[in-house]
Order: sequence, then structure tokens, then C-alpha cells
Amino acid sequence: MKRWGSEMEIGLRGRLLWINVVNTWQQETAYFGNSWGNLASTIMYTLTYLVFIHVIFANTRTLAGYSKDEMLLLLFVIQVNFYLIQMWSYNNVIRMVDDVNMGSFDMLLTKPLPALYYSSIRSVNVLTTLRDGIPSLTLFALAITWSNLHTSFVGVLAGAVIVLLGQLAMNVFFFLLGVPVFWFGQSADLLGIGYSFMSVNLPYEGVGRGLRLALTSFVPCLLASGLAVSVMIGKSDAINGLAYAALIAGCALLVKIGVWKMALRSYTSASS
Amino acid sequence: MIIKAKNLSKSFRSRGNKNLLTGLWRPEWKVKDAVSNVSFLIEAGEAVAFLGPNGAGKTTTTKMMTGLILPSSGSLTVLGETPFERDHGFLKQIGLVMGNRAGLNWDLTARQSFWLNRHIYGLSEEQYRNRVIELSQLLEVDMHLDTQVRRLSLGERMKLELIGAIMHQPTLLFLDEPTIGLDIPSKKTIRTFLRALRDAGKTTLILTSHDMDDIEEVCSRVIVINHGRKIYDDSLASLGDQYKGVRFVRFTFATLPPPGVLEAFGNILEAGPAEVLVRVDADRMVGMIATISAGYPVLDMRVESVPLEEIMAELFASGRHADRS
Repeated sequence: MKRWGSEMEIGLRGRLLWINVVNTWQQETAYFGNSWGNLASTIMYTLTYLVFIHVIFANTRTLAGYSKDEMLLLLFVIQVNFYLIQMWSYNNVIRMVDDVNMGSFDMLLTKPLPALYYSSIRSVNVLTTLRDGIPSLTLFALAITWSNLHTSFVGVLAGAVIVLLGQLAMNVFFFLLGVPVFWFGQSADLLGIGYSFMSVNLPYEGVGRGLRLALTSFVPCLLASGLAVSVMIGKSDAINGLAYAALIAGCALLVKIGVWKMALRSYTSASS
Repeated sequence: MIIKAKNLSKSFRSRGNKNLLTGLWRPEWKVKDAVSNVSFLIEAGEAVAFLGPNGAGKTTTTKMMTGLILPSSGSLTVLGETPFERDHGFLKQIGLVMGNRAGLNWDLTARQSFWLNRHIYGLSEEQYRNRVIELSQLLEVDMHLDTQVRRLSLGERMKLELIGAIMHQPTLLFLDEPTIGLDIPSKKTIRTFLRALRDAGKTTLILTSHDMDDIEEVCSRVIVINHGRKIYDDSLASLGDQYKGVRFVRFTFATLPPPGVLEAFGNILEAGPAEVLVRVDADRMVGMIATISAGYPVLDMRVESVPLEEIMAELFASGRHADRS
């Protein structure tokens, strides 16, 4: 608690986050012409998805109990989560894996930093996320008839908090896939497994109880999207949903801290 | 004492299977002792070189001192702390430069990376600005502060790495191959800078290098590690004492003498198209010079000090495991 407790430490964490956001922005603008291709493929993906949903709901009124607009809201939230994960979880774990593999992690560990926190916020790709995410999310938002959704303020607020808690849990999930690099020297392929879970397009009510439990705990991909939307549209209880998400995120955070300590003890540092 | 190491050891475990298939599910683990029972004391203000052939254990020792890796056994205190605990107070007092590792962000300018360091080490805006200006002028890279790091030459990058590592004025600076791959002017600038840092007396330097010129110009004490064990720990000057009875004579000939002539007096250490370096016992040197000068076309002749490379090569080859200190 010593490190979290002092105002100085909290201030340092805030400054580090801000500096890393700025530094990542500077990096992104250094190669600004590089990744515009992503934008084109994202828009194509979104349009294809919207046509697919339109075709399906032309023949049925509901799917897994979700109306067309509820399904579009789910896809909207899935996309939001996809970009948020990409923005801070996935990139940072990839960077951690590369740095440990190449030995550059030495330079981070010898600085007076909260190393776990710092390695989790090293790259925050705000610009890329905005550039790729806004057009796609706008298309989804325009496709939804918002007045058809039966939402409440409390439900939406609770759902938004669940999105954040789910993000935290997914961050730990990616971390756990990347952290074997400390023992084996490489774990990039394991991260590929995580990538395939990044945009799991399933409604919370569309899966059985066992799978629902698994996909909201061990592989928490259903937490930030499925459960959050279910709470937003009133299909799940807001308080229960929030409590469950908080429990999973809290446990995930404790696991992350424990595994991190074990990883550091096993760190061998690549030869120089 | 700034560093106290007692019976410090580190072992690494690695897969040893030769069979590609059975090794997957029935791994045979091999344990390698990278460092074995190494003890030493280092005082504040010293400049100490850790020497040894590749894989000897010197970098592992340095990494244990910086808190990067956990010792398998033994005790180690650096600046009164246990390095592996990585207390922020401890980390604020050390600096690390690794010739093969980038501390600066490749995609940013050095100044942008230094800005991060400024906040990490809690420097005021004024301290930060003055320090960066002072160090960049000393190392002759002030004009490169706003160039993207990936566009810099290796020498420029290394100097900027050095600034990043010492801008917070560490009490203890670890340098691992700081001049590797650099051209002669860059090496010279860095050595001069490190000497000035040493002479100021505020920073203890721990240097690992294969470049003997780095060692001779910066360090006064040498710890030699071979096969994970300390085989020498004394001043650089006394390292040459055992060679008091030996001389190294470099001849430049118009035409080389026939084979066997120089070998009759001593060992040939280097032989070029016209130059030969001979190691000879001191009491035979005068006789050799007289004979060779009289019988062969000598253009030039120099009696050289004992090359540190030669001393090291003998020391590594000797396989002595005794601790001289």
C-alpha cells in the first residue's frame, strides 16, 4: 500500500499516464502516413456487418431475445471495447513481450517507476483509436434507432461502469497471455489467442450458464460487452451486474499483481 | 562501502534436450552456474572494471547489482539496499547504460525521452534544462537533441543514452559496453567524459567492457571473472606487475627476417607484412635488439608497455580460480 498510498505516487502515476499519452501521440504523428489503410478496412468491416444484421433481421424479429436495435447497440459496445482494448491493453502487452524478449525491459526495471503500472500504460494510442474508431462507431450509431431502446439512466450508467471493469479484466487476460515471456523468453503466439477473443460478438443471454460463467471470468470477453449491454437495456439487474463485474475485475487485478511478482523473480534478462 | 557482495551466486536453468520431439514433453533441465561465490567490496568514488571473456558472468553480476535479476544465493547490498527489492529510493541513485540496449524511445527525439526522465526522477524544470544543456554540450550532441533517435548515428545515440542515464546525477553508474561499435572520436569523447565524471568524485563507476582502452582510461581497479568465479581483484597497475620480467618489442622491417630468427628470442604476438611484436624476457631483450638490428633491415623499433589484452588473454587462459585479493 506504500506505493499507492502517498500523494506523490498518485501524482507520479498521473504524470506518467499523461506523458505516455503525449509520447504515443508524438510517435503516431511521426509515422502518420503509415496506417491509414486500417481506416479503410474498418469501414468496410462495419458496412459488411451492418448489411449482415439488416439481412438477418429482415427475416426475424429477435435473435437470442435481442431486437435489431438492441443487437446493433451490442455491436456498437463491442466495437467500443475492441478499440479500447487495442488502445491500451493489447499494444502494451505486445510491447512488454517484445521488450522482455529483446532485453529492453532492463531499462524500464532500473528506473524508479511503478513498473507494472508503467508497462500497462506505456502506449496509449489515442490518435489511432480516434482515427479508426470514430468513423466505424458513427456508422453503428447512425444505424441504431435509439428511441426503440428501452434504457434507463441507472442502467446506462451501470453498463458504462461495467465496460470499464470489463476492460480491466480483459487487460489482465492479455497480461496473463503475455507474461509467460518472463519464463520462456517468448509468448507472442499466445497473444494471438487473446486477439481472437477481442471482438466476441455474443449477446449475454445467447450462451448457456456454464459458458457465460467462463466468458465473464477466465476469459472475460463477455463482461465488457455482453453483460454491459444486458444491464443497459434492462435484461440483467444493474446492481448484480455491477457487483459481479467489480468482483471479477478486483480478482483479476490481484492475480495480475501476484503473477507480476512471480514473473520478476524469474526474470533472467536477455543476454547483452 | 557502496557495494558489498558476499558469496554471490546465480544459476540459470535451461532445456538441454537434443531430441527435438521427446524434448517437448520430457525436458531435461540443465543448470548453469553463471556466477559462483563471488565476493567483493566497492567503495564510493571508485571506478571499477568487471572483465572476463564472453559468458564469464560479469554482466550477470552487474545485473544483480542493478536489481534486474535475483541472486540464487549469497548476500548483496548496494547503497545500503537489497537491489532486487527495487526500492524507488535506490533506483533514483543508480544509472544504467547498456551499449546493446536502447533506453531512449526510437521514434521520439532525445529531448522528448528526457522529458519523461525528468518526471520519473522528479527534476525541476530548471534542473532538467540546465543538466541537458550542460551534458549535451560536453558530449557534443546539443545539435541532435531534437532529431528523431532512429535518425542518429550510433555514436550520437550512445552519447544521448549516456545523458539520459546520468541527468539525475546518480551516485552509482553502471556501464555495460558503453563504447561498443563506436568510432574512435566518439569513444574518445565518452572516455574523456567518464574520466571527468570519475575525477569529480561524486559518482562510482562500474564498467563492463571488452575494450581495454575503456578500462585503462577510466578505471583504477579491475575485477576479473571467469567461468563465474572471481580470479583477480586488484588495481589495474598491479595487474602488470607479474610482467615486470617481460618486454614487448615492436619491429618494423624493410624485409622480414626469415622464420625462426625472432622466435629464437621470444614469442611472436603479432605479425604483419612489415611489423612484428615480440614478447621477450627482459634479460634477453638487449641481445635480441643487437642481433636483429645488426643482421636485418630494421626501419623502426619500439619497446612497448605490456598490452592489457595480452595480460587478460593469459589470465583467462590460466584458469586460475584463486582469489588474489
